[in-house]
Amino acid sequence: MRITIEEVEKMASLSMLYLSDDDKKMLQSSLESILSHAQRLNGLDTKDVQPTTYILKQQNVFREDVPLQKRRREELLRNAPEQEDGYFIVPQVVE
Amino acid sequence: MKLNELTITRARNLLEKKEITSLALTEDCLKRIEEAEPKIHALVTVAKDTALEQAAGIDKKRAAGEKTGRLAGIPTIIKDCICTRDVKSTASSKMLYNYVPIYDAHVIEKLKAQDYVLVAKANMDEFAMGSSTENSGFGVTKNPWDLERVPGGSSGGSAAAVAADEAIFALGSDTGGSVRQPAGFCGVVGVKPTYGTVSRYGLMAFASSLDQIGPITKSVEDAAIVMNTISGRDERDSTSAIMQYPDYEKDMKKDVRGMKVGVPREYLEQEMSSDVRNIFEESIRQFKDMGATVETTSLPTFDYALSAYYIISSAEVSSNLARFDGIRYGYRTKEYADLKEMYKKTRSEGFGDEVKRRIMLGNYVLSSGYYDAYYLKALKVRTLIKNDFEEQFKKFDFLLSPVTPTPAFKIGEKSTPMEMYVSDLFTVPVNIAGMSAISLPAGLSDEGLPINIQVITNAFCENTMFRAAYNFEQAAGFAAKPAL
Amino acid sequence: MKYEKVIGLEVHAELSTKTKIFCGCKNEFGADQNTNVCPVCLSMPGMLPVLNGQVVQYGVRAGMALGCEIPNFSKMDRKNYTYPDLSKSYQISQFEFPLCKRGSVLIETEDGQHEIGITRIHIEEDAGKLVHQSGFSQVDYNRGGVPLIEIVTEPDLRSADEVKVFLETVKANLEFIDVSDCKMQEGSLRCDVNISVRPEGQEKFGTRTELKNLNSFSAIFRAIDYESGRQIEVLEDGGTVLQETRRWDDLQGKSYPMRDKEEAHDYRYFPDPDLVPIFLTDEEINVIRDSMPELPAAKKDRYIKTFGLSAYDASILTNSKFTAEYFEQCVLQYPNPKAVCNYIMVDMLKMLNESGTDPSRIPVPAGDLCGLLKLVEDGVINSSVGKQVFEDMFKTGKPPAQIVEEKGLKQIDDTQAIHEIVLQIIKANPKPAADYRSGNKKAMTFFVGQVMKATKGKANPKTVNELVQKELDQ
Repeated sequence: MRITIEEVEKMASLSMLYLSDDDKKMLQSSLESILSHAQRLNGLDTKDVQPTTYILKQQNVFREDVPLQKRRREELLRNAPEQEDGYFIVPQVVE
Repeated sequence: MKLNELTITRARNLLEKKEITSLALTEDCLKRIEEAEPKIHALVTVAKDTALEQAAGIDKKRAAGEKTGRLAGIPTIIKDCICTRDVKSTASSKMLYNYVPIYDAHVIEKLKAQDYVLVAKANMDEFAMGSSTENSGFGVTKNPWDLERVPGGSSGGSAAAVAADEAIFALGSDTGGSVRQPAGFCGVVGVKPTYGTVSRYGLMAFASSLDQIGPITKSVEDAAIVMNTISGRDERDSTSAIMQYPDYEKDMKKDVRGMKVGVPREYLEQEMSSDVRNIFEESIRQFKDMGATVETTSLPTFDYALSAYYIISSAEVSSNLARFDGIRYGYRTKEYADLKEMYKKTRSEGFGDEVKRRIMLGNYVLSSGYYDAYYLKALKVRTLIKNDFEEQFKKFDFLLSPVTPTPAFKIGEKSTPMEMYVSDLFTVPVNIAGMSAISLPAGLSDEGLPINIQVITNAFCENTMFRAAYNFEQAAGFAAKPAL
Repeated sequence: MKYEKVIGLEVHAELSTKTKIFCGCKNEFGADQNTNVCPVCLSMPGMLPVLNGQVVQYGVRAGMALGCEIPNFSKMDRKNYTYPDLSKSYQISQFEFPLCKRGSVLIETEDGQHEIGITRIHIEEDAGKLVHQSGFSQVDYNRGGVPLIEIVTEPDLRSADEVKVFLETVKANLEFIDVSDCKMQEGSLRCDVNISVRPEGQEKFGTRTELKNLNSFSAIFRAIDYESGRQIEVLEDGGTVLQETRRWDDLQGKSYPMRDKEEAHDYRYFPDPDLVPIFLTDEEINVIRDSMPELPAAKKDRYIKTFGLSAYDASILTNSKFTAEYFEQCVLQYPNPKAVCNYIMVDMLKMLNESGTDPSRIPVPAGDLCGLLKLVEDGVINSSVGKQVFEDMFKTGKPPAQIVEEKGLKQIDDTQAIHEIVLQIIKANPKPAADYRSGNKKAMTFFVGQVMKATKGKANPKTVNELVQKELDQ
């Protein structure tokens, strides 16, 4: 079960992570070993098996379209690393 | 006996009879914490002042003859991935080093309604990923039975704290064994309720289709009492089971005569230390002596549960942790030139290695080209595993197994991820299949380390589970305590 | 070589539920930043989504209005990508099993009728808003979690005109069933365009590009025009069109390739484990179907058959729920559909356009318009005075009788008085009179006009015509 460094880099990009070259190599090898272990799943014939997408049998769990009590904005922004004027502040987004 | 060594049952009794006060009980716990923490480091935050305040308040209510809750004045420790309003909740991650939630988890609301006392937040493997608490962003917790060994994980802090009597009981969370395995390593009782029984609202998500909050206690009866408090339908969690919830203490003390017990041979065939094997076989004898019939049976898909677990849980967590981006809460890196750098540095600095590994693995198995081969395949295997267990429960009232292949291992002993993952082998199938299970002390190894057994019951059959466990507990008479 | 445009649309409409799709925050436009947010839509740790049942109802209604099949089973999936306005870094949407499938919308342009296929409609949550400042951006999550339906069409559209009519039809339908107010200027209706070109007669599709950031109907048309032209130029130069997403810059009048969002292409869809499936029984679906109001197409047919309106008129009236309702209210009180229709089509729409008023805010009560029509019918005022009065009614909100009274606009019927004026005008204008008498019958209009002017438009036009003719013919 081989994973290329390019694949590791692609995953790092999807995961929004920086990886040093050493990190990449280590991840490459640990991912390879985990996925090799996972190959054993191919030993099970699942051709006509439905996936268990939901563990409970319930369906149609809905909320009523009724507004709930509001909290104060200061409280909601309290944990923000950077905020001003009621906005969350982020570094420049290039469109 | 020091008050912090009491069980819920005993403490409640003494409190109701006014023979002790909540304040005294809480003070003893805090004293013990002061004593034990430098050695075991089980806790992230100690809420000393508020705990004393809460305890004093309950005493006042009681003195005035007012009605108090079922857990009134009972000092409790909560795993740090369960949100407690106005009390720092970190999931033992640098990413949330300063995070103070503005809401309580559903289970906390329920405990508050019963007048519990919050004493501390417990250390854990970061974001619940791990089996030893070595992945904590704030240092490993030491096993009170042997300070060179791990307490297990991810609820290692909760289990160690209860074993060391830093509180009367604790809450942990179990995704692949994270309550049962540390309970086993620390010689206490741990329950993984059926998925859907305890609301996940306010539980920082690891794997959404597997996570359940569960009690870690000193006795089976205590666990049933806590279950009665924390379980129940919550409209804020769509996966909270819509059903009639039972009284978990009901019929617990009935005997187990005539009950049918299955022991899956696949468990027996695994490599395990001789201590574990001997104690397990002894526990089988115990059940036979109590009048249950024990038979060897088979779970043919046992071997596949661990792989299915790694794929499913990593996929879900890679998505669940994507929200940690330094914008609305938590850690943000200090220097960055643009948005992308801010994201990547924040996450790379805020998350530990195991978390990063699982996020990467999760994104891999969900990515186009691999989804069918891994994620979809794992979901299908999950169906087969679930079917397997359901077949067993047509014949048996419960299944019996060891909790871990060995007692607590040494800190630093497991050097590769796979090695660590394999220690979850016995507990993971229960989460995959959506069943319930309890881990309870059965004996000590030759080195004096606790060894637990696991009682597994069908979904929503916790009453059977508590009954079997209670009877075993009474018969086994495990009373050892760590010599901390 | 002649080229044909092949266009498909992805239309997003905000549903007008009271609350967001997964939490109890208010769904309201224009609130102060971050005042309609909560721990759930801010995606704080441990928070979970719960689906607003009304969103499912509205989504199904939208599907029915656009001719879709409603499958019994559908579910929510996670679409994973990172952007600051997406607080979970995934959007809860529907991928594998959408709420509605395989519909169609019939449009009519000057080129005739054309059925536009709807591939699917699904429900999903909206993202927040980013406000760009210099060196940093501000994030407002008020819009995050607002319920959307995404309508995906087959690549059946062939011109900007068809796109216009299609969007108007969709808007009218969604308005009629009360699920969305479809205001492009408020962002409750958004449209991305997928466009490719191919030589006329060729069956194979060309490579398509996706155009984003189209914020008005006119921007959509300009963009289609530009992009098809750009693609044709590329092809004629011997190049190949790149499959890419391009951003429309309306100020520059050009499209630009969007920054490489390469990671964003792998959305890693998987079923959301925090939610449970939606299962609608045939019965439940029928209940919704039975509760649907009359849709624009059916209403248009009815107007043609029952009220004898022209297809054109019926189509304009049924373009908006509000004009249709207004029309029907008026006809109930003043059963002359053609007269009512005329006033709405000509005078009302003109005033609405001039004043920039939305049809949902017609300031003239139906009863008042009916009152006006009756005044004209009864000859109290003549029809051109009627139009003046209407303008006044629109601007001031006063009832017609009051305006007529206040401004003394009653029709002059006094034949003798009119006769005198006619004689005066003819006497004062010998040349046009001579013109008329020498055969230029058209000169009569001059006199009629002058008499009307002299009476400030209030003279009975029939009487004026008769008397002018009589005097000139002498």
